[in-house]
This record gives sequence, C-alpha cells and structure tokens, in this order.
Amino acid sequence: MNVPLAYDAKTKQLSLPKEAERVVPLVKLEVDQLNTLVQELIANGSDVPPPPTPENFNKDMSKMIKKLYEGGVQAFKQGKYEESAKQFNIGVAMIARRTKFESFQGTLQELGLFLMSRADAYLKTKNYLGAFNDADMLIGMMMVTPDNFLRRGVANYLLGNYEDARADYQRGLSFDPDNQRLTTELEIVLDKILEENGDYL
Amino acid sequence: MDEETAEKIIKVSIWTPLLYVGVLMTCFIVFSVLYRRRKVENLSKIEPIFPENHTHSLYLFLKQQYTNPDATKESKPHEKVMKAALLRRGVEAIRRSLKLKEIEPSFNRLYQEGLIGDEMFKNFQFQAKFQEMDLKDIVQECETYKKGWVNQFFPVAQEICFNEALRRRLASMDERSKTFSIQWQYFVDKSEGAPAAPAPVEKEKNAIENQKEKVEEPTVEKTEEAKVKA
Amino acid sequence: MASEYTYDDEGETWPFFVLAVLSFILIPLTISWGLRIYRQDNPLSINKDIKGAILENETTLELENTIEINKFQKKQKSSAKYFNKTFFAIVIGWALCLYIAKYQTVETQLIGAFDPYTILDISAFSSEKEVKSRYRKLSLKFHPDKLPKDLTDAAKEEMEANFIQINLAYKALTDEVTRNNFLRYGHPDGPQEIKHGIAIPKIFVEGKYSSLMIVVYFLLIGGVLPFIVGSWWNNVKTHTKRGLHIDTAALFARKLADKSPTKVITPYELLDWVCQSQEIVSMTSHLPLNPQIVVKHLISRHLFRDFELTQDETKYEREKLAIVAQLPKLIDGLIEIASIFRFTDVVLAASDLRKCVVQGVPPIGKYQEILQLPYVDPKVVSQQEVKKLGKLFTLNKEEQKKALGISDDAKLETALSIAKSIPMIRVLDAAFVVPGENNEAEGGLPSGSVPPSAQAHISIKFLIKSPYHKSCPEIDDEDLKDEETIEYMRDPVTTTNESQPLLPYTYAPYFPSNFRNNWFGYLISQRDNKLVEGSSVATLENVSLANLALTKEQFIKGEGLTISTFKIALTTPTPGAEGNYTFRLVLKNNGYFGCDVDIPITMTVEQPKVPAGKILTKKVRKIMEIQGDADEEDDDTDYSGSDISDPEEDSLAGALAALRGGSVKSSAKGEEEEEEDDEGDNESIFTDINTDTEDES
Repeated sequence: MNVPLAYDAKTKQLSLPKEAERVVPLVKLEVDQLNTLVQELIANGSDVPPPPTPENFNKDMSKMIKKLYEGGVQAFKQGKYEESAKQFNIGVAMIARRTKFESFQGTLQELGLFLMSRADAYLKTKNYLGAFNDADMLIGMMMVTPDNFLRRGVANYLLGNYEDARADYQRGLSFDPDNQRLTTELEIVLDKILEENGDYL
Repeated sequence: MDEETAEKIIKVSIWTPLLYVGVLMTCFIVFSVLYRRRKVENLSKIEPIFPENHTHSLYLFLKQQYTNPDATKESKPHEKVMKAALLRRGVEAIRRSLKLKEIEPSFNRLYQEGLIGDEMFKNFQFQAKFQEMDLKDIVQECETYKKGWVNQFFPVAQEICFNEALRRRLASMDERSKTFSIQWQYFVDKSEGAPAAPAPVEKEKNAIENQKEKVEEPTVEKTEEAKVKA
Repeated sequence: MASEYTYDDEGETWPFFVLAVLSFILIPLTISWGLRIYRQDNPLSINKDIKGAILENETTLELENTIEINKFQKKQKSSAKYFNKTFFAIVIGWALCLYIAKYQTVETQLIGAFDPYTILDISAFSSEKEVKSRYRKLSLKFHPDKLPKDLTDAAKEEMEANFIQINLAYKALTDEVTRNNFLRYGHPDGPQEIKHGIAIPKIFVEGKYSSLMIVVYFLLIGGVLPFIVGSWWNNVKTHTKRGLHIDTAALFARKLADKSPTKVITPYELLDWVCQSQEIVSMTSHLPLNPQIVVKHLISRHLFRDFELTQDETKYEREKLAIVAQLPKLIDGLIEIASIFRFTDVVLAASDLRKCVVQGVPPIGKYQEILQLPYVDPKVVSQQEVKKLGKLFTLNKEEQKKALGISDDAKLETALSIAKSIPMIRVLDAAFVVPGENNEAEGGLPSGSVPPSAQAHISIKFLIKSPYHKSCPEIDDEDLKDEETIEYMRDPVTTTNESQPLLPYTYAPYFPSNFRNNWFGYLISQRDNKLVEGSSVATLENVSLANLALTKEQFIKGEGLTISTFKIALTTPTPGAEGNYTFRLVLKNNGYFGCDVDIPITMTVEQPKVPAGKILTKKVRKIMEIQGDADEEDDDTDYSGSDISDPEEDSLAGALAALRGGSVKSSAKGEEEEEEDDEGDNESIFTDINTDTEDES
C-alpha cells in the first residue's frame, strides 16, 4: 500500500489525498471504517471498548428505535403504507448507526423485526423488489421461518418469478408441513405455473 | 604408426569421460536452475485467496509513526487511534480465520478429487498458517497497549466483525435491487405497471383472490404433500 | 564365439525390429483415426436412429452463421474428415511396413529350431517302431545313392541336406547322446552359436554415417524422450483431472472461497469469472486493446444472436466461435468446484448460463424458453406475454406468428416442430428407496420411508412429454414400482438407468460443437439451502424420448406411453436417527430451457416394523420418535421445530396478512420469540462478507 496518508491530531482522523480515493476505493473504505471506529471509541470514553453484553446495549437508541417501530406499525394499521415504509426505513438506518462494538445479537433482533415489517409495507406499496430484498436478507440471516419464506415467495410471485415463488413456499413448508397459508399460496402459484405453460391437470 | 594411433586413443579416452560428465552436469544444473526459478515464479504468480489486507498495512503504518522517536506531537497518532486500528486488524483476522475454517473441508475435498492443483492447495495451507501467526502477532500487540486486554479484545473484535458484515449486507441492498431488476428485466421506475412488468396490480389481485377457487394440484406436489403428511 | 556382438549385415533382424516399432506406432494410430471418424460422424445421422430426437442443425435451418460454424467444425475435424495428416501418416507407415516385410526380410533358416518330429513328419506321440519305419521310408527316398541321375546339382545338394536332417532327427529320437543333446540344447549337435545382433544395418555404424548415428541417438535419448515425458508430465501438472487448467481451477476456487454474500450471483457475474480463465486468456491474448472487453463483446454478440457485423467484427467471427466452444467445458468445471463448496446459487446460475451459451440466448429476462427457437425475433418476443413453449401450443397460427415474430409459414412450422421435440419432464413420483424394504404387505416400510443407516437411492418416475402435450394421463401405481430382479437388487441405480436408450445429441444450431443431451441432478438440503454434503452431481443421460411422438390424445389416454426412471445413488447412508429430512431435488438440462425439474422430496427415516406385539411396537416407535426429535434439536440449533407448529404465530404473521390489512405487530411479536431460538447460528452466515459497500459517513 503505497498511498500517502495524513493524520490530523486534532480530529484524530486519517485522510487520503483526494486523487488517491478514486484510485484505491478499498483503502478509502478501510480508512473510513477506521475513522468511524475511532470516533466511536472516543465517544465511548473508556480506554478499551467494553465487551458486548445486553447491559451496555445503547438504551437511548433502543427507545428511539422502538418509537419508530411503533409509529410504523400505527401507520400500517391506518392504511398509510408509504408512511409506514418510511418509518421502518429510518429505523433500519438508525440501527445501522449503532456503535459497532455493541451486541450483535441485539442489533440482529431489532433489524429482523424492522425488515419483516418493512417487507410487508413494501408489498403494500408495490415495491416488490424492496420486499424481496428484505425477505431475502431475513432468510440470509438464518431467520428461516415459514413467514419469511411466505414473504419472499409472495414478492417473487408478484415479480413474476413463479418458479422461485414455488421453491420458496416449498422450502417454507419443509419447516412447517401444516402451514395453511403456505399451502394455499403454493396452490395458487402452481395454478399460475400451469396457466403460464398453457397446461391443466 | 601403431604407436601414434595408440597414443591418440589414450588421449581421447582421458577426455571423453570428463567431457561426458561435464556436459551431463551442465545439463542437469541448467535444468534444475530453470526448474526452480519457474517453480518460484509459479508460486509467486498464484494469487492468495484473500486480497491485500489493508487493515494490516494501515496498522503497521500507524505503528511506525507511533513508535517513531522523531515524531512531533502533531504526527504521533493518539492511543485510541492505535487501538481502533488494532481492533480493525483483529476484525479482518477473525473474518479470515473463520472463513478459512469454513472452507477447509471444501478445499480438502477439492484436492482429494484432483479438482485443484498442488500449488493452490499449498497456498491454502500456507494461508491458514499465516493467519495463525497473524493472530498471535495481534495478541502481542494487544498486550503492549493494556495488560489483559486480550481477553476482551477478541470478543469485541468478533462482535465488530459480525456487525460490520450486517451493515455491509444492509448497504448492498440498493445494488442488489439493481442487479435483480436487470436479471429479471423488471423495471418499475417508469411508472406503475411499466411494460416490462406487466400489470402487477392484476397479479396481486390474483394472489389474494384466487385462494377461493381451489383447483387440483399437480401430481408431483400431491404425492409430496401426502408424504409429508404421512 | 557364443557372445559376440555383430551388426545386422544380412538384414536378418533389423527389418523385424523396424516392423515391430512401426506397428507399435501404427496400430494405435489407426485405431484412434478410425474411432475419430466413427465419433465425428454427423450427429444428425446418429440422432436419426434415436426416437424423438430433433433432426435440425445450422445447415438444415440455414441460419445466419452456418458458413462460419461449418468452417469452424471443419477446422476442428482437422482438414476434412478422412484425409487428414493422420491418414497420410498411416498410409505411408503401412506402405513402409509392406515394403520391408516383402523385400527386406531375408528368409532366415531357423537354425535353433530343430524339431525331429516335423522333419520326419510324424506325430510327437509315435512309438519307436513307427519312427524307425518312417525313417527307413524317408532315407530310401533321399539317400544320395538312390537319387535320380538327371537331377541338377542344386537339387542334388538340397536332397543331400535333407538326408542329413533326416538322419539327425532319427538319431535324436533313438540315439542316447544325440537325444540328450536335443533335450538340453534343442539341437542334436549340442550347443548352438548364439548371436547377439544389433538391429541396425552395418552401413549406419561404420563409415560415413557413424557420426550421424550418434547425433540421432543423442537426439533421441537426450531430446525427444525427455521432451515427450516432460510435456506429458507438464500436462498432468497444469491440468486438473477434469481437464481444467490449474490456474483456472485456482481462480474458481478462490472466487468461491471468498464469495461475498452481499453480491448477487447472476449468470453474467459467472460469465465474468469464466472469461478470466486461463483457457480464454491464453486463447485471446493476441486480440487488440483489452482482450477481456473484446471477449465479452464477442460472447455477448453470440448470446444475443447478433450477426449484423461491422467490418472489424467479421475478422473475429472465428475467434468468437472458438471462445464460445470453450465455455461449456469451463462452466462445467466451475459447477463441479462450486458443488464441492455446496453453493446452490452458483450451481443453478451456472447451469442457466451454460444453456444460454449453448442456445445463443441472453441470460437476462424470462423469455429464454421462446428465444431458444430458431427464426424468432427477440424484440417481438420480449414485448408479448407468452413465455413458455406450452402456452405457444394453445395459440392459433396467427397468434403464434405474432408471439414469435415469424412471418414465414414454413419457418414457423420448423420452429414449432423443434419446440414440440424439446423433452419436458413430468414427475410422477420421487422418493428415497432402499431396495427390498418398501413392501408394506410383507411387513416392510410404507413407500417413501427408509430404514436408518441404510444404503438408499432416489428413484424418480417421470414422463417425457412434449410442450404440445397437455394434462397428465392416469398412471397405475403398479406401473411405478420397480421389478426387484436379482440384478436390480445388486445395483439398482446403474441397472435401471442403463436399461434405457442414450439421449440424442442436443439441438444447438448456434453452438459450434456437438454434445449429447443430458440432465444434471443436484440434491439440496432445505435446511440451509446448500447442496447436500458429500453428494455428487448425478447425470441423467439414458431416457427414451418415444413419448414425444405421441399425439395429444394418445398422451392423455396413455396409449403407448413410456414411463421413465432415473435413479440417483446416495454416497452417504441414511441418517441414524428417525425423522423427516427435507430436500429439494433439481434436475437441470444441459441444453434446453423449460425442461428443468425442481421438486421437494422428503426422506422419512423409520425403523422397520417388528412383527411381534403390535401395540408395544407402536409405543416403542413413539418413544423412539420423541428421542429422534430431541436428537435433532441438539444437532441443529439453527431451527427448532417446536415453535413453528404453534398456530397462533403463523396465523397472525405473514405478508398475506399484511396485504389483507392484518396486524403486522402481532406477526412481529411471533417472530421475536423465534429469533431467540435462532441465536447462535445467526452469526455463521455473516462471517464471510467481504466486498464492502458500507457507507461510513
């Protein structure tokens, strides 16, 4: 790494020359991540970052996030889906701004909650790609619940990916063979696939 | 005449074996030199599994300034900066170690089945060893800042590792959306119900309302369902 | 005298030596040449003998790139079919052999081979009496005194020689000393002179050719031999067992090892990897500017069937075909490595990419099934609704023309006839089977169940159908059972698979080389969506396509229907614990769109019933089931079955509830509890993120 780095003692930040930022975006990213961590460490006060426990999970932040969540749910109930999606969006952004050495489990739980709700709001506002993305991330986070497969399946269905939707429902059913909703949705998509093929049984 | 020929024969018989051995030896030496050079070249040509470790070099850069006796107060990094840099180095080291552990069985199988070359496998083993050394090095560095920090260092670094991964995944969402919309040729931004995504409204209606009219399932699924229930 | 080295002056042995060497080279060469001719036979003529095969190629379809493809294929076959370099080498070689055999070999007297029985012309089991009488007869005939007077000198000499031979032979059989000599040395005169000849004519060793000989010798030992061995070894070292360059294999392994979960794996992404392979790079290093960009441009022109060329591009038409011809091999290599990493997304995307390359169809959008047909207009196709071949056959002629963008009647007919012959699969039954265990009537397991720790296989019963066929005929359950013959019991998988005819060559007119059609089977675990550990890729290459020739009515009625079977061997035994194990079985065709199979399949592991004490057994089984479940929960922390069956949660949650205006909050509540269960394993998925797109500001 042959890049001239500058250190500012006042802000305790590192910086790259402007022209280098474009040439080595990965280094720029590293520097940025380091700077964020430095800020977080300084803000934290203690000389070394504390081990992550539920106790030192930022309670103020949790409160704010919870408020956003409740707001989103309220809006959803009133049928203001755009508003609701926006609230969830802000919430997700806020979660991402938590200090990095806070408990991962806590963050994950919060995020899971928001993503599920946001996916539902997105489905309502016809942002199917967004809904798919959220459900996809939930499944990627190993939250392999039948509901998340239902979400991704429905998003896939509405995106016209019938085969993918079918696979999602079937995978969901493999975790809960008696899931009524998945079964009905599966039937719908199977009919749709037959229809697309100009076939019948 | 006879003597002369005899002498000639003797002369040749002295030089022939020497010449023979000489030629043979040079051949071998040239070959081994070339072979070794090529081998080294090949080894250095093989790309490592992971790209350049920037956290590592960044830390070394800061460390050099930190320990430089000539450094002014202005250029000497703050201790917290050093700790943060070491944490980031630890994060990357943990990520790589976990990754290596995860892919180890795959690499063993690839090698056993002859799907990758010797050099790639050696490279992998080397990487694994190197990672261990890197972790040990980090432990030592860690002790220079605060005694006993090691016990806390790795849990914290691991937490940062996971958290950062989560954030990266979140941040990649827009990019993923773009990829998907190209892959499926599904574009919505033109206006609702763009031609590429024909009548989503109608489909949605189907999804909800079709539930009433149950038609027979295809046989495959039927048998599968039956099995699941059985 | 006995151990003297002599050069072969009279040409007694060297012609034989040369003949031996020549035949060593010539025989394999001739066989390989013959095989190549046999194999390179036009795939169309092979397909003609296979029922249901598509009998069209670029030449019969008169496609835009026919000339180039034919040129490429000719080059591949190295200058015409029969009269290539190998052919001439073989002809000259055999001519040389003939010449040497006829004119250079001296009829050698087989001095060493002395057989008294042959000389006396009697059986080896004759008694002494018989020998004596025979000798007397012969000596009368050949005795020098008894010879006719009018014989020439030469004839006389021959007769005399014969007489001596006869005498010797007689003595060998009667006289004690001669007999011993014969037994010990093979000749009645005692030890014979043994010649150690060097099979080189003397002129090459002595005189002016001697220095040349040494040079030849040196070149042979010091140059040619090490070169051959070296290049062979080098080839072994630089290529993996599957013929992939090791650098390419390393590239794929590296890409997969550090695969970032933030990045979507699309066929295009994989094409990018493949283009970086050593094979493509070394092939295209002579291209101007940035070869990678040129390569991608060329491939993209192939995928979009773009034949409107600028003058610059015409030059690269042959390169394009050469690159395209390489791709499937590379993609297969990638699939193989990815399947060891168990990456479902890579394997499936790569399979799709392979088809796109083979058919000349873009890897984006959802119209591949229609676009794989000839003569279609991609612009028209992507603007209409019909995406599937099956749908196409429900339309009338005018609608079909509109959907495909074909205006010519004959062309439409051809396109439809090809569409009709694309073999679709309708799965009738798919289950895990342990031969001999599923006979419920005799106290075996119900079908679909397997005993623990047994050697099972997957048995798929299916119909090959044309997209033109609709619905599904009634199939008797009995027809889905395998006949359990002795051979079947010994090796159910190969016995069943190989009893069916081989699939024909794939119809792929835009692709420059020929390959057989087949399906690749992948078993995926539903739990983690990864390929099952230790499973290998199964290949379905033997299927009868006879069903494709049936009419619609025949198909529905099931007249003359062929039910096909595909069996996939499992490399690992069934799990030891009872319970349900869920999988997803995917069959991917290597050439056609629309004929893939993707079905869920459950393995129910169950102890075979113990015949005595039914109630007790039931109890035991129940207990065992509970234990089995408990075991499972210990093993798999990522998902415990306990909370899914709770009806409250699943009735409240879900996108559909949301769509109907159901409460999200309650759904979220349900999830909150679940997530706690998920702890512990949540982490693993996130350890491997690399490409960073994080916005830090």
